[in-house]
Amino acid sequence: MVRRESLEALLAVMLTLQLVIVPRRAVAASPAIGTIVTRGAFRLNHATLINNATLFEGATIETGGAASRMDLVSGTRLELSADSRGRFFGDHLVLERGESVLQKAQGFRVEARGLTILPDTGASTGRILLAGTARVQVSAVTGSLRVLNSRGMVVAKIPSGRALLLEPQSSDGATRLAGRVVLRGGHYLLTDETTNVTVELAANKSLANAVGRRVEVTGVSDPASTPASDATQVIEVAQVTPTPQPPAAPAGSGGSGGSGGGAAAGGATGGAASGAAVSVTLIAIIAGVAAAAVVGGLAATGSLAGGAAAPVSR
Amino acid sequence: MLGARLFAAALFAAFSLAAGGTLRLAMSHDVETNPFDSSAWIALGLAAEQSGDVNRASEYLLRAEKVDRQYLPAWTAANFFYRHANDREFWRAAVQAAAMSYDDPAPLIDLVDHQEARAVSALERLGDTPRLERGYLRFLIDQSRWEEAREVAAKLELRRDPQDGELLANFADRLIAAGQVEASFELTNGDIRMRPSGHGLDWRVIAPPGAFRWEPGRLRFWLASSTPDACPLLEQRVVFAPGKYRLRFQYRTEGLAEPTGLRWVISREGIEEAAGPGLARAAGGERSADWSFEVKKRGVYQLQFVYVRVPGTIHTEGRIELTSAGLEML
Repeated sequence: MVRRESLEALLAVMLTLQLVIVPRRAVAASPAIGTIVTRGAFRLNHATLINNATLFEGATIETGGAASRMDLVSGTRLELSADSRGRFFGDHLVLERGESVLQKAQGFRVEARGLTILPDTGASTGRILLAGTARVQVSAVTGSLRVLNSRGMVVAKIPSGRALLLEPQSSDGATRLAGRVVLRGGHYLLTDETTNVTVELAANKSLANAVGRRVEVTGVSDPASTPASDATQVIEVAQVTPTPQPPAAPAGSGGSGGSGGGAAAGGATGGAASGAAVSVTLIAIIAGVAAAAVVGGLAATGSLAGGAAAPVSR
Repeated sequence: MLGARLFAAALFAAFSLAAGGTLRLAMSHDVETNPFDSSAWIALGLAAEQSGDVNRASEYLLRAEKVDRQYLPAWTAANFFYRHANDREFWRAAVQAAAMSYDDPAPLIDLVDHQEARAVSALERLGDTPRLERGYLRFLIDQSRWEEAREVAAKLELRRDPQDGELLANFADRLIAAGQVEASFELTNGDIRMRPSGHGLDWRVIAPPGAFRWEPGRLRFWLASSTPDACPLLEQRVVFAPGKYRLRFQYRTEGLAEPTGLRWVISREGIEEAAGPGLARAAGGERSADWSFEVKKRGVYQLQFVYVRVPGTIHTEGRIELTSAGLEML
């Protein structure tokens, strides 16, 4: 506490400062982007509130023991789960902690740990969870979701009922995929079984022998090349390894087989903060993002309580 | 009250099913049962707003305010009327919320700031209490809106309430840190008639505790064998423009031997830029002295009064009394 005589001195100081302040224009106010409603208390821009508030561009919301529901003027509806934090904008959310559920999310995206998650259709509903310290678990409840890496390249397409655990890697071009090679219009294409992303394969030698076969491909993505239609990117192939078709996974039992290993492999096991079971092997790396299927799909993520296990990727 | 808890729980669910209306029907029934439960009216109002029924939402939220004069209904109504650009009702509800607010007023201020961008005008409309002024000053400082912050700080200064000292001091420090001050060519509190506050551009005593004493018009420092070899005693931040300056000061000493080891220095970001000559003893009475120096770059500097033991001498012991200091540009 400042003592009275110090206050006198301080006021004199303030008086001096007033005379020399460099004028600056006031910051323009931003429009409301929506409303937030919570069953209890939450923090808005670090101030504690209860029940409801108006959301403005860039607002930081931090939930406590209860989830918060946001209705944006754009029509997007989303939820920030308990013990979560995010920064809200009219067209996107930067998820900083915890989990968010997208509902009516047309034209809306969620940014999480360098990844961007957006619905393929306005009707898509999904759940995005920051798992552990480096991973993002994305579940598509209805409709499908797309996931982009930090350079805007598609790294996963998640159909309804599926969930993926994703982890950006230090090398953002590294790629390892598995699927069947097809030749279409003179281009070699492969749709990865885990991420559902179709890529064009470019190699020094002919890939004719691989056509129609299931292979594992390693390489790097080439953002400078324009892929053939249907493909999202071109992969400069380093190695193509024929692999047998993996045995069908029993429903709800998790992934099987796969020759993975590597960055996210063991780490994926039990890595989700939600406790969801995930496959024990590395499934794919695409454009520098490792992806592993969540065993049991949405049932494992808690999105469909008691629901039947969703098919696994391999 | 059980009803309130139930309604609070229902509020969130109501949003999930706002369009469906099933829960709204249930809540409607409940407010009929307990029409004084504001949380139920709020839940109904927000649900109606989400379903696009703005008139009904307004009716419900006004009803919530009517049955409950506390903060939440007024806050909710202020937000609602802001979203629907109803200026008159917004201000009525905002003023009510401001009067009922006992916690952090920052969210209300943030909302009001979107309606009225000029802080002083907003304060006048809200009711202009010290509590709101403090809240507004913090809000404006956070947003680096220095000019408006100065206007609000001026209101607080006029109240001369000691409890505002810390906030005003922080404001002064933030202004300086943000470079929002111009070269002043003057020292603050140069005659030391006021106790050094340690903030803003005022003196900051950095001598060890117990080794100094302030009285109006004088600042005494005691040097002893325990005084560190290099020991800053006093400093003031000064905003210099490039140029030549002269520091004039008056002092007297008692018991100090030559060389005293006392001098003025100018430093910037911890690096010494210029150092004055050592002070001579002034045992016979007050002595005037000056030191001229040059500053090459504009910026915030520390003018420090320091003791540095001169190599080859023992610690000086005694007292130095500073009675004034002033700066002039040459």
